[in-house]
Amino acid sequence: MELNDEILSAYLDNALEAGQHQAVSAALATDAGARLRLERMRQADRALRTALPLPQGDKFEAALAARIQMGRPMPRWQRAVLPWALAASIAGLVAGYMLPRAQSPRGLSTPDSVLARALDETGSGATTHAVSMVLSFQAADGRYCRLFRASRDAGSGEGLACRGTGGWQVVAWDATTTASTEGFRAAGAGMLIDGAMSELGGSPAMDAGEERAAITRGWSKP
Amino acid sequence: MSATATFPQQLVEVIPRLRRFARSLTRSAADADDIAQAAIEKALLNQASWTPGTRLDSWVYRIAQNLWRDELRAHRRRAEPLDGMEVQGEDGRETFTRLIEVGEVTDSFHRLPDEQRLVISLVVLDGLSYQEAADVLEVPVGTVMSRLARARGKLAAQMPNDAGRLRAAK
Repeated sequence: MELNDEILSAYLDNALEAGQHQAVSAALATDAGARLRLERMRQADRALRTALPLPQGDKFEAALAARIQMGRPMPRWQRAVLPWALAASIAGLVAGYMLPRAQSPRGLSTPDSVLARALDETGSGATTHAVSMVLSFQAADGRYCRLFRASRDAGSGEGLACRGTGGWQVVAWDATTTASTEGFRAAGAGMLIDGAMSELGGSPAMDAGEERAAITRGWSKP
Repeated sequence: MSATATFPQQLVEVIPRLRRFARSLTRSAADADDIAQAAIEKALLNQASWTPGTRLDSWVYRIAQNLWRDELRAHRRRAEPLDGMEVQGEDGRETFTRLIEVGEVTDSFHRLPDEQRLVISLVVLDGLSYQEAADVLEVPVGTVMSRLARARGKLAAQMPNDAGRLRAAK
C-alpha cells in the first residue's frame, strides 16, 4: 500500500473508512519513513495551533459582541468608530457623562419636558421639535433605551436615554456628532455613545411593531 | 454551539473563530479584524438568508471570503504578514524547540498558496470536517483532501528532525 501524503493526511484526520484506516495502520507498522512523515505532519499541526490561537477576550471582540446584540446593521460611517467603543467605556467616559435624572444635558437646548415627550411618543425615524429618534432597544438590565439626535435648532448632538422608574434619564450625550445627519462624522466622534451602548448591552434594536407597542404601553414592560 | 441559541448568540460565539479565519485569509491582523467586522455587519443585514439548522460559522466564513475577494479586486492589494508570535508558559529546551517549530510553521503557513492556507485553517485549526470545509470553499471534497495533503507536506518538511532539535537546543 502506498502511503502518500493524501492518505497520511486523511489518516491523521480520521477521515478514512474504517477498513482503510486499519489497512493504513498495518502498513505504517512496517514503514518507518511513512511513520516519520506522519509524525512530522502531526508536529506541524500542533505547532500551527500554538502559532495561531483563537484571538479571544480582547476589546475588539467585546465591541463586536455588543454590536451584534444591538442587532440593527450599522451605517458605514458608524462602523469606522466601533473599535473606539469599548475604549470609551473603559476610560470611564460613560460614567463621567452620566447626568442627573430628568435633566437635559449641557449643549442640548431642548427643554426636559419636550425631550421627555419626544422620547415617550416619537417613533424611530421621526422627528419632534428638532429631536429625531434613531432606534430603541431593551438594555441588559431591562430598561428601555433610545438613541436620539438633536438637530442644530435643539443643540446639535447625539444622545442615549433610558427609562427607569422615575422617567427618562439621559445616560450619554455627545455634542461632537455634529454632522451625523449628513452621514459623516470625524474619526473618534460618537465613541461616547457607542461605548455607552456597549455598556448597556441587551437586546437587538426593536422593530417598528415592538416599538409601537412599547409607546402605546407608555414604555412599561408587557 | 447550542441548537437553541438565538442568531445573535450564535454569531457572538463565532467571533473568535471568524477572526482567526480572517487572519488566515488576509495574513494581516488589522485587515482580518476589518473583514471580521464587515462580515458581522453583512451577516446581520442578511440574517434572513441563513438557514437555521445549518452551520452559521461556515456561512459567515463564506461572507468573509467574498468580502476579502472584493477588497483585493477593488484595491489590487497584497496582504501584509502577521506580527510575530510568542510562545509562553514553558521553559528551557522544550520552549526553545517549540519556538523553532512555531516560527518555522508560521512562516511556512503564510507562504502557502491562499487555497492551501484556507483549507489548513478550516480543518486543522477550526476542526471542520472535509465536507464542511468543502462547503465553505465551494469546492469538491477531493479538492479539499489534495490541497490539505500538499499543504501538510510543505509544513511537515519544515519541522526540525530530532537530531536538528537536539542541536538547536544546545
